[in-house]
Amino acid sequence: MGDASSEPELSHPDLYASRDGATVELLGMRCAACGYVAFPRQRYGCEKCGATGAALVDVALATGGTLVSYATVHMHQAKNIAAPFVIGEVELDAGPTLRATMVEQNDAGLDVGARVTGRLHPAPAVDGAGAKLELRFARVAS
Amino acid sequence: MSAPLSKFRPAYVVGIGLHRYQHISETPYPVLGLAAVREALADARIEWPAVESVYHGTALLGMASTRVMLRHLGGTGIPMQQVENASASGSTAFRLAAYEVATGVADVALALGVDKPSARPLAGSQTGIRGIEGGRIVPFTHFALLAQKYMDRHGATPEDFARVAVKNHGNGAHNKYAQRQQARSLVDVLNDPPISGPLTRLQCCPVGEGAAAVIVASEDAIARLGIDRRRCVRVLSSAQRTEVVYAESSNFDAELTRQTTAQAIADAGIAPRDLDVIELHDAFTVEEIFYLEAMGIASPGEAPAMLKAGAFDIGGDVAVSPSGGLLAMGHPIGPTGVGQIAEITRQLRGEAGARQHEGAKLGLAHMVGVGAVCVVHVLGETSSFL
Repeated sequence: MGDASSEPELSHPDLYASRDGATVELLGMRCAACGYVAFPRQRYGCEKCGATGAALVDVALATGGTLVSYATVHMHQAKNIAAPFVIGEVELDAGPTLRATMVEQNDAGLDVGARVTGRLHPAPAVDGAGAKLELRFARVAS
Repeated sequence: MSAPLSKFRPAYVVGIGLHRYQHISETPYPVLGLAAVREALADARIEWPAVESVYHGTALLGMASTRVMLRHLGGTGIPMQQVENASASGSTAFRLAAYEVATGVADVALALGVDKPSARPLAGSQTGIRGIEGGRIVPFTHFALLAQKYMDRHGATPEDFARVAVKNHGNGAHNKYAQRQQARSLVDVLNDPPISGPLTRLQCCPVGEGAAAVIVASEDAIARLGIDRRRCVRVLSSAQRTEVVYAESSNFDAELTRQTTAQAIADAGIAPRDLDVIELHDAFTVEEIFYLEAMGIASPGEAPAMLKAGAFDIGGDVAVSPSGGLLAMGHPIGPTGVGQIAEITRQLRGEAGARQHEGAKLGLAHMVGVGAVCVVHVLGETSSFL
């Protein structure tokens, strides 16, 4: 874990963690009964086989993966979410597929099949709250 | 062991009624619902006291909406309940009404859908399990991501998706119950304000208010009440499933549609290409492409070319969303699935006027809902059954 005193707070410390202030990891889980790897972690029961309790094992998932789709969002109903922005769908090397905001502000440089990784990026300011970092994905320079 | 509808006695749609789907207004919801129920009763030529049970599909009205509306038909004391199943609420209400009649619990049941949009959050946002998207991924972006993936996989273009909107707005222009009743050109659709990815505004359904009602009856009731047999449409099958963990996780609605439709088609004893009319969940244009392929109407990647060739037009191989679909008729949530049954009934009766698909004998209604859930019904015209 990074030193909290030297870093801005994370938007969702229950979902991801910063290691050495450099790399970010997703807080996922693995079902010891069926092997299903999921994100985010939860304690209710495995979505695939129903196992619960000690069968649900916390795992940290590396954020490296492949971009399998993207969309530029031109409008959004919520007043506190400014468009445009780009959403990516990422197939993690670690298993799960997830969707997240991209660091890229437009889809010009994005291609399906591109290598991407998670980055901590300044989150949009929310009324008076201090600066926070949120997990986004970005294309890995080739 | 669960039992398909075909294991029980036949159930028929004998009456249909609608209140136009429209932009949200100050109109109190009983005005919408009572108009639809009274029209369905008049269509069946029966009186309210003949109805023995009510299933009311509604997601957004709030607790206990049904009796306080239907008391204005004159209280008869019959069982009534709300059915909430997201976008498939009305479809689920219809399924329950059909099973109640088929199993002999009732002879005449009403499936109703009435809704008005509200900003109530989905329960899924209150499970205690959060995602990292921070509210930035709403349904149109979910489908924009799937559209981009489809374009990449099959070489499809934004025009391929826009053609779904052209067809369905064209159909809706002939439907007096549709929220959108204006034909649109390909240029209109493509030049409309961009929303997300390749989707423009006219490729996203309007969520407004409205009502739909369908009366389901047994052969005993049809005989006893003197209902016109030529206007009865048989419910051939009913299938309902929920999402599981799929190998291809992102287009879960298509996988769910594949499984649920296969079950409904098999239970009806038909093949996908036997269908004459399909009403499906085209909340966004790309969904029509995905689901026609998932249903086996088109091979993977082939739906855009078939659409362009007119295969899914009224008068084509199979009329898809002749009502205008969710895109043009609208998607007021609770009524939508019941309204699909009304449209298929109208088509199979040969009473659809300017929207009539000639010779329609078999129809399929399909809804998916957030969760995810899927409900599919197959209906057949009755000359071969009654």
